[in-house]
Amino acid sequence: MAEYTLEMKHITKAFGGVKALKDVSIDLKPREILAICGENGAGKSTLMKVLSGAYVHNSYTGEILIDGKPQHFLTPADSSAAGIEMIYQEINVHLDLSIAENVFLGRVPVKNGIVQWKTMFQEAEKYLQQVGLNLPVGMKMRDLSTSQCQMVSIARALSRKPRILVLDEPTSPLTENEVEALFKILVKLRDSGISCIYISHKMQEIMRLADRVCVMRDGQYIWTKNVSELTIDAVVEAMVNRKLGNMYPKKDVPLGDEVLAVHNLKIKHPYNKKKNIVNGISLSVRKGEILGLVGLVGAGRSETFNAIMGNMECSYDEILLDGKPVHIREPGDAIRLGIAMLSEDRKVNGFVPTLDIAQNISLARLDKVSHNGILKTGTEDQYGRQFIEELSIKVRGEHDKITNLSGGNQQKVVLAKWLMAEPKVLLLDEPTRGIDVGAKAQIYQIMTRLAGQGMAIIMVSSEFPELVGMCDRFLLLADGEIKAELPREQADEEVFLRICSGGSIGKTC
Amino acid sequence: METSKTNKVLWKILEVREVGAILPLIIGFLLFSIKSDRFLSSDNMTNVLRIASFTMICSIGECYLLIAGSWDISIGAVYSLGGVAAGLAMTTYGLPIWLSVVIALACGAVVGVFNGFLVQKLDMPAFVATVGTQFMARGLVQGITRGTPVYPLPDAFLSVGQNNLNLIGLAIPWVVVIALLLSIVAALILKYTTYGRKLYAAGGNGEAARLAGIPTSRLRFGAFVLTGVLAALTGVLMASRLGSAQSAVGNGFEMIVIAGAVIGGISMAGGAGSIFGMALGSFFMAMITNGMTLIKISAYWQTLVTGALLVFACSLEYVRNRLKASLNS
Repeated sequence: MAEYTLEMKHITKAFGGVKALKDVSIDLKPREILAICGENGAGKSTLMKVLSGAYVHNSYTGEILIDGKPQHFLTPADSSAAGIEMIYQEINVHLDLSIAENVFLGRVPVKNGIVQWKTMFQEAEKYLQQVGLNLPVGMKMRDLSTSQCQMVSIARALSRKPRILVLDEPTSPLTENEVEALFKILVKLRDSGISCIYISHKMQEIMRLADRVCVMRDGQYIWTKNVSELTIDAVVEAMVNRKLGNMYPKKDVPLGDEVLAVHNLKIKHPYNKKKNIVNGISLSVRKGEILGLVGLVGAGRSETFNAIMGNMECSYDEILLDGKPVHIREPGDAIRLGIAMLSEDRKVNGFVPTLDIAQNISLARLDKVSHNGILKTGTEDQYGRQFIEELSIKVRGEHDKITNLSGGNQQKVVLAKWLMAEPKVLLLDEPTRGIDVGAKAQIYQIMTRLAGQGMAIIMVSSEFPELVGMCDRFLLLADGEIKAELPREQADEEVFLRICSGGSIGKTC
Repeated sequence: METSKTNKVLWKILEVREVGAILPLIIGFLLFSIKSDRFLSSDNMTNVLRIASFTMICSIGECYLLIAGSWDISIGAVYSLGGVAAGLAMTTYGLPIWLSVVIALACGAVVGVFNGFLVQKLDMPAFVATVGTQFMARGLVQGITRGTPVYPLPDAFLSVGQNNLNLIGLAIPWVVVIALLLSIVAALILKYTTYGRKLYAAGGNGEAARLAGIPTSRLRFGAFVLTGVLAALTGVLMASRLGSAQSAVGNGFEMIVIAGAVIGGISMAGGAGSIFGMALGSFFMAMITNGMTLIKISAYWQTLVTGALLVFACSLEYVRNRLKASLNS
């Protein structure tokens, strides 16, 4: 038997000109749980997609060995046939089928073209017991809780008799007790001979569960060490380890009065109704201040923004704007009150692809380019040209198609739309995601200018360096709660990461 | 050099959304003109225009709805309902014409509100919801009329559908005048008002529009009601034209309306298209039925030819996108 169940050697994967993985090598021993850690965008998911066969084997360089034998995956089915099963954080089940059908999805036992229901039910029951789920296998998935669905996906993976189980943030929809149950099962599986790769942001979970920890950063492999010789601090340090550049033109601005205050905001989890994804957050922001909401993916950052905008069901004690309580039922209310949100994914909900640039810019304030409901296209074009100039958007003219622009320029058009709305409070959700460095720097400059003019800005970003570089104050989020508040002087990526992944503020833990 | 020039011309042509209707329209028009000496006669042209006008009136609402990112299959049934409701109000209940028409339009509005409720409030898929109301509306008409036409309708009522406007020697049917006026108003609203812009935004990217403060759900709800009212109005006008309100008159009409709109460049995905294109598409639909009869294609085979032409015309929309992509690279 080979020393390693799985080896991935010198994997390099590029998207266009950007290298998502640079010469990454990992190995997995029999009967072990290997945790892979890294910041958002460190390349963990890309590496796992390589392993799962989601990328054809010649779209990357490097090799994959199982028990020392080279593998060439063309499709996820090949990877599955080689004994690799993936379990993702967004639960992937068919709600209108029974448990048994979900367990045997795509591999329903058939004899002479007829489904062998009895065999299927008996077999399904076996795997259900393995994951400690005592439910009738004929039950519809729709009637199961989130954690039970997660267990069924694990049972499905087990039914394919995997050698290697890959779990990507499996605990994010689970409550604490459910996490405990999952861990017991994973340990049992490991002891029965299945190797696991476990990806998580939650340091404490990793320290409890994993045998070895592998750290990745910026698409590169850093090191792999035994858990026994590690502390959370050591892992976090290795994950961050970056210097701040001077691309952040942050200026100190005298802070004015409190503009927006939110008290005790609660939002239900989309998959698990028993859990709150945002559980009692209170925040406030002042004139000229840039407030950073720091948290890892799934901490409830975007949800908080959407709730403030009236774009998501939520409950709260009160929302105050300029000290007066307001009631926001839909985004239109928020815009009229002077709150604007640059959303996380500009393609999904940032711009309208069928409208041109000028039309996209005026979208949130059609009242400014119309009179009694009749559009004044001359005024609209003027605004378009003004913002193209002001934000140096690279286009031929204000009637260009927005779909022909680069990501950075599209983002500037979306930003222009919100500037035209003249908000008092600007919520920026991942304002620089997927845009080039030049455009990023310009967006930082614009932010600085706006704060200087007295706008209150709240910013969410998965890139800690840009938060550290741009914000006056930080609220650290984990599990839907604010874990700490830090002033600019104490901003530190390591502290961010440790607290947001469930550690404590002190250096010792 | 030569190719880049032709490419540029080709590109310009492909940029026009309505090209899907214009091209087949010209081809068909030339073909029918050559093959039949009656096709271009003023009588026949008037006839084609009149048929197209019914489609156009009904299609205005549907186009607003398609542009806003939804659709309505129940219009054919609402069309019958409108005619029958007006007819019954005038005959059985002896109500004045204006009130009967209002009642018919109100019936259309009620169906529209119901559709809007199902799709926008209960989040039902538009197809499922409006197929359901289609059956309900049709069933209601059949139950009430038991399949028999409603007549005799008052002469004054018939004058709208059967008389012409005499304009500098030209006799233009009133229906055509109404269709043209409504279309022009509808086109102006779409292009020059904030309401029109909001419809385009709602269909182009509903989520982005909503976050920009545009009440997309209410807009679509309103478009459902408008669609219902205009479908009922078309039914009223058809009853006036035929001299009786018939329960089966709207069968399959929804497909002609939607086909005409799509041929004219209204996007099924929402957010794109124009009333001008829809008018061309509606005219095309009326013209091919008429032309085929004139050049003596058997009525039994006409449906097949119509279907083939439809596929051809609609495929132009997709071929257009592919051509554009290949020209781009």
